[in-house]
Amino acid sequence: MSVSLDRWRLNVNGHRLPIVSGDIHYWRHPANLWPTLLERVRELGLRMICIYVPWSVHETNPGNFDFGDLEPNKNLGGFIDLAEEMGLGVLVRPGPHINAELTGFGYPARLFEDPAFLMRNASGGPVMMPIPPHTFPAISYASEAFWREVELWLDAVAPIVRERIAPHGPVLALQTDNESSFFFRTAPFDVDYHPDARSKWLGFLKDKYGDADRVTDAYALDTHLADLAMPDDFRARTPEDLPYYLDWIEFKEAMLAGSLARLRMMWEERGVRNLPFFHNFPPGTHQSPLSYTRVEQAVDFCGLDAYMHKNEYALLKRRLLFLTGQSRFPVCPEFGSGCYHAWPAVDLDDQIFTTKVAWMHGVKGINFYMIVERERWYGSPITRHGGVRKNYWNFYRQHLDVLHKIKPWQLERKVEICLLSVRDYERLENASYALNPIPPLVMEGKYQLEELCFEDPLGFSRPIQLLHAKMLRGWETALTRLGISYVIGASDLPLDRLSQYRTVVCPTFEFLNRETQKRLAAYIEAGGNLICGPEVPSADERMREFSTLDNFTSRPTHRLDCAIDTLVCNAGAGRLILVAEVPLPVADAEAVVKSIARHLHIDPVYPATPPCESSLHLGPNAEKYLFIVNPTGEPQRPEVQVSTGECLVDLESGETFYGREVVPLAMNPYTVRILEVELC
Amino acid sequence: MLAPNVLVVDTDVRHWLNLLGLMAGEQTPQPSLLLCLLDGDRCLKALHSKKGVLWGFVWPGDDRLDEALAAAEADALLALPRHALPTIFAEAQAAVTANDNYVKQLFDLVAAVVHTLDEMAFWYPAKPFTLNLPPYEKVEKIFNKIWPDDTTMGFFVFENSRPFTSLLLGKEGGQISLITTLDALGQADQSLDFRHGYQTYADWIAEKFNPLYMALFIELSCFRELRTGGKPLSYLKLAEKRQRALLWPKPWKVRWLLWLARVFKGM
Repeated sequence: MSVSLDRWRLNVNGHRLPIVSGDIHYWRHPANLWPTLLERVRELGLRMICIYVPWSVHETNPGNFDFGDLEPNKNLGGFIDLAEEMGLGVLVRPGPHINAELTGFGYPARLFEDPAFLMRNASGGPVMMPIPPHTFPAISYASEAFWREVELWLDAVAPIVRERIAPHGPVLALQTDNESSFFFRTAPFDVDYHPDARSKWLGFLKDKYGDADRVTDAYALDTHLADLAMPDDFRARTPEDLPYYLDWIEFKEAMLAGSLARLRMMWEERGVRNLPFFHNFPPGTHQSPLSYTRVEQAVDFCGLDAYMHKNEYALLKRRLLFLTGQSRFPVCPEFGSGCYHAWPAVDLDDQIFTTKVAWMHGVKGINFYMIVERERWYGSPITRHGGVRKNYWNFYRQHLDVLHKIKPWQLERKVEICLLSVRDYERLENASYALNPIPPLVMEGKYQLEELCFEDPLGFSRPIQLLHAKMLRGWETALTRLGISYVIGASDLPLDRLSQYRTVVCPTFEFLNRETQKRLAAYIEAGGNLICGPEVPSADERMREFSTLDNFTSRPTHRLDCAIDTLVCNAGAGRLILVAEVPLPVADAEAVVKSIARHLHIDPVYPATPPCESSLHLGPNAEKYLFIVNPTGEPQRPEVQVSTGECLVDLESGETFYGREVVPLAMNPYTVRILEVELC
Repeated sequence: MLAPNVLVVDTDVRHWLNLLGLMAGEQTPQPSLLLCLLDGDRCLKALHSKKGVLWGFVWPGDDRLDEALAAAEADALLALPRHALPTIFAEAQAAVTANDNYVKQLFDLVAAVVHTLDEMAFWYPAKPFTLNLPPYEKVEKIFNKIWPDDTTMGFFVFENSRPFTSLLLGKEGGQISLITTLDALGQADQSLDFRHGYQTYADWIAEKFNPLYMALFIELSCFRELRTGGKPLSYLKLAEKRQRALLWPKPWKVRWLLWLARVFKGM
């Protein structure tokens, strides 16, 4: 491979390059200004840029494209070559979906006129995107007619990109599509009911079950599979009703990831290969139908876009911990550096705070979107004329200096625990979402999504769709209060990824995917500590009798001394700890977590007095970098526990903080300190 | 009325954020609403606009709604059958035409939502609002009458004699085609006080974009008073007399009278 992934960097002939880059939209600037703009990017301290390549801008008529022959600002090859001359690597994002705050998200307008290309809602009608300054219909990635059009676009772009892949050119990685999420329409029964989606759904079911008869058996149908209607509402009453709905949500996961795999294959067929392919999820907490695990089977790594405000710390942290727990290479392919006019405004204080929070929680690469301002964007450090916005410029200059000192892409965040979000229960949560078709992504800031589910226990002892996420939140709150670091992964993480953590927490109820059960058992056998409950699963995802974990729970070793019945079951080198009730409210969860942490000898590391939080990152030469956040709107004076003789040096202000075992700090509202732990 | 490819450029961050702040104004307390999703007379989900989800809420039946509202501490109740939201979405999306401009699309979308909601929703005690949208065609006609094509409109607020926020809108072909701020003028000194610099601003705008058709220059404190007080036109007249605001071009009275005449004619 010309460019390969090397842990959390890109490797070009042994040169390992971190992803710290900035977005610039070449076609939105006159070509004669490109050298000035790129020079400014270099002066700021970046050595990598990221570009969208918009289909709608380059297409002159179907199958014909302008790459600079007619208009100089569309000279894609010329722009990439100029970047190379100026010593800048390039991440390329040619869509076909790009958004880029373009009207129609970068698809040629002609596609919106042919229903063959368009998504359908559950009643067969159009799916419209009311995004200013123009409402347009959403494109269907199930549509085979659409894919034939995509071929024309890729045929045109591939030759330009192909010959510029490093080391022959500056192109370092390619993003397939953008923010795949059915155009943010992730409600369970909203989209996509395109006729081609139906045949793909039936094909998915046949593949999953082996043949059509097994599907009809599993669904207890007395009709042929071909007559089966696509689910358009959640009408399950019993566990046996569930596979039909859970399979639908899983199909949507597969369809999203399948589109990305198809795009990658199409690029490779056109000679764009030997470089990493990546994808970016839209801002949100990524549960079903979005799946890092599936997407990372299609591309080399998947990141998360983030445009957040300082007062959304808890939500940002959760999203970032999902990212760092699940992604192979946790990057933010779009991280707010400025704002689109139609969004809630993001200001410089938001940018400063959230950028540092991202590194604090283990992000390993950031593309600042946008580093050069342009139409429909404000608040970037470089103006579209090549000037600078002083305060913004100063922050990014200083911040990049600090990054080059600590090199977050080389640091290991010290993490004790992985909380597992269980795919089966996420699917159930999505399927039983009561506000369908309002996009859950829209509701996430206002509500905890699980609270928006129907409340029926569906024949189980408890409403799993409500309690699964609530239990995870209880654990998150308790661990945060105790100062114990964690990430959030998905239950379909491969075993080698799970095994990186000493302890895994996985809420379990009456049913659990067969493969997940086997993987958790293997994790215990390999020496891991699995904390699960309140139920030991006795059935698989098709509600067939199946259990691996009951082998462990049938031989409990002892009970922990805590308010909730907690069994410890040793098994080989590992152990299973069953918390036999739902540890809610949070105070109960905290007591249980404390007791289990004591039992497993999990101690907080450099804890800071709440509400401040800390996160320790270890360097390759045993350097210790400590991030302390004040996530509140009030000044705080936290104390940080250190070992005797240690002091803390603020890498931005240069201040040194001393103390015997406890170092007092002063923290302004919504600030993060990046500290080096030194011996004094 | 809004061009699909409207150019939104050179937005000074401070100006834009200040503008959003000014437009947001002060939050007035909203009445609380209890939304119930019903399957027959079984409540599947109850959401309170201020308190969030009401767990285990039981539909009280039509004759005990007052009691239920009091218990839930809600001012009004909106009950929807479970299939209402998909129907409202479907109707709204079907009502929008891709080739229309955004304002027309929003008019159609809102009309469809209101119509479908009226057919499917049960309000108690009564629908707390009425929305009578004027016909879009009439609105568009007035828009074109009061604002000629190939001109710009300006709104400039000053604090301590310096621009606090600015908004410059351009119109071409019957549509708003430009949204920008003073930042777009690229002048080194944009800190001219409007009382003696208004003509310079107008000249700069005409040089860079289309000529200014009408503009309001106003002090920040004066604008705030204007928003909260009654009789805005007489207040504005007084403010201009005291040199706290300026309507451009002078004599503004003539232009405003022409405006109003066109508006009434359009109605």
